[in-house]
Amino acid sequence: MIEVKNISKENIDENGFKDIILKNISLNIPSEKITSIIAPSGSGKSTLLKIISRLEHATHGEIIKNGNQKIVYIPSQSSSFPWLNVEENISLGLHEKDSTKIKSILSFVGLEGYESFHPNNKSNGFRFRIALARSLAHHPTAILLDEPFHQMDVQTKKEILLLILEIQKTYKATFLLATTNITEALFLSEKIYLMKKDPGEIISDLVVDLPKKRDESIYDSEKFIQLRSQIEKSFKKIDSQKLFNLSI
Amino acid sequence: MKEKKILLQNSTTLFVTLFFVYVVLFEFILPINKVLPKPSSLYESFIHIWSDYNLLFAFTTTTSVIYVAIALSVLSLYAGAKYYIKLFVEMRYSILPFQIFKFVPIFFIAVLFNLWFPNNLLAELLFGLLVVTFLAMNRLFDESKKMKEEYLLIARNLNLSQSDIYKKIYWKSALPTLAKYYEKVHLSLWTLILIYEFIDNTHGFGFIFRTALDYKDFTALYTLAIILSLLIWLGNSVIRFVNNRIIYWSAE
Repeated sequence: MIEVKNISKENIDENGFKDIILKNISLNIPSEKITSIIAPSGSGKSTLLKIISRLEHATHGEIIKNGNQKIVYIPSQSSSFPWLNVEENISLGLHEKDSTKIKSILSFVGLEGYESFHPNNKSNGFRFRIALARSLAHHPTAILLDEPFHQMDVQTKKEILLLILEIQKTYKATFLLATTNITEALFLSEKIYLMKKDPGEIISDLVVDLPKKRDESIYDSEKFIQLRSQIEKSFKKIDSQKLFNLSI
Repeated sequence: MKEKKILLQNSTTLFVTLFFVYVVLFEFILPINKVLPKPSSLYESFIHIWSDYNLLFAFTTTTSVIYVAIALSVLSLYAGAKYYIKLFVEMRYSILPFQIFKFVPIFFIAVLFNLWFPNNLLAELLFGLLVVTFLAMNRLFDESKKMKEEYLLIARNLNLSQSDIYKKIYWKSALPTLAKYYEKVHLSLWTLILIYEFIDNTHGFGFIFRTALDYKDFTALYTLAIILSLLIWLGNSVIRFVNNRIIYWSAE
């Protein structure tokens, strides 16, 4: 379990004015589950994920985690290095390279046979698979995904959604997903936090009580539609004029 | 690929047409003039430059200076990349004021070197090396400022050491732009070395240009220009070929 307690982030702009990016964010990220944060663009989602993975400092608040947990952060773009081939990308930063383990991860994420390929000129889906494989090679306790489906075509998105579910089940991984897309978050998550912008603040949270086994048929289920409508209503309450660039 | 083929076909057609028009006009129709020489006199001039102006010696000195300077600069960048980038990143604000030197005309430096070390081939090489290295370093400094945040986040998240981040991330990320920039540097260096030799007036292609100008040898100037264009084109093609072989990724 990772606990985010009262995280705030403030910046001072060029004119000396205080800019509040995140305000009193508190989250409970349960182990071995997928949790999502749905928020509009520019709400500070990425900043929050960077703070949780210790890549940025919070102005106030703390992150409580069990022992020496490894939290891996995957950015929305440029998630793999184009000058390294697939295998080099995956073993980057590893102190001891376990070839058997890397091979099994490659096979799991669908990159078997592509070891010597370079991600340059390859699709976002291919690059994202590399990033997922690299994360798994580092034995993470949590994987933070920042807008993972950015610029992915529909078919690739479908495959990656199922792959994330499969990884979670097989590797017992904890995922925290930050997205603007309500459907993606609902499909994957067991718990969802809704966040508003200006400043970034949690407005509510909900437990997704959908069946554990998920496939495309879930989109048409009554419960799924009801949850989606509930999330939309929550955002509309804050701003009735627009849905904050959220996608459905 | 198709575009390249069309471009090559069109360029060849254009060149052959222009060459044909030139030969017909200036060999058979127009009288001798000071715009373009007669095609047949160009060939005679080549033999004349070869023997009287010692073309082979000029070729050896100028190309040696240019390509040794480029090679040394590339080697020094490769060997010290990690340290240069560390310096650029960690002392960015201290280095910024030095960028004012990029406005100093290199022509002035060429004149100064000629004043300090007249008729000295090593000084010419040093001048070339300093120019290439300064231009490349300046580019590397700019690239280190434009580094993609995502790459740094991933590298720090994977607990890469700072030294590894400089060597494996900053340097590799800057390489495609830097390599492409060497094609431009190559062209600039040819011009600057020709100016250097023109001022020095003792050796190299620049010296031949100056001598031809002194003797008002109109056809020799044209012949030299053709030889130099071919050499620069060949050098550029080699640099591009090597770049494409070594750097298989793009700057994105």
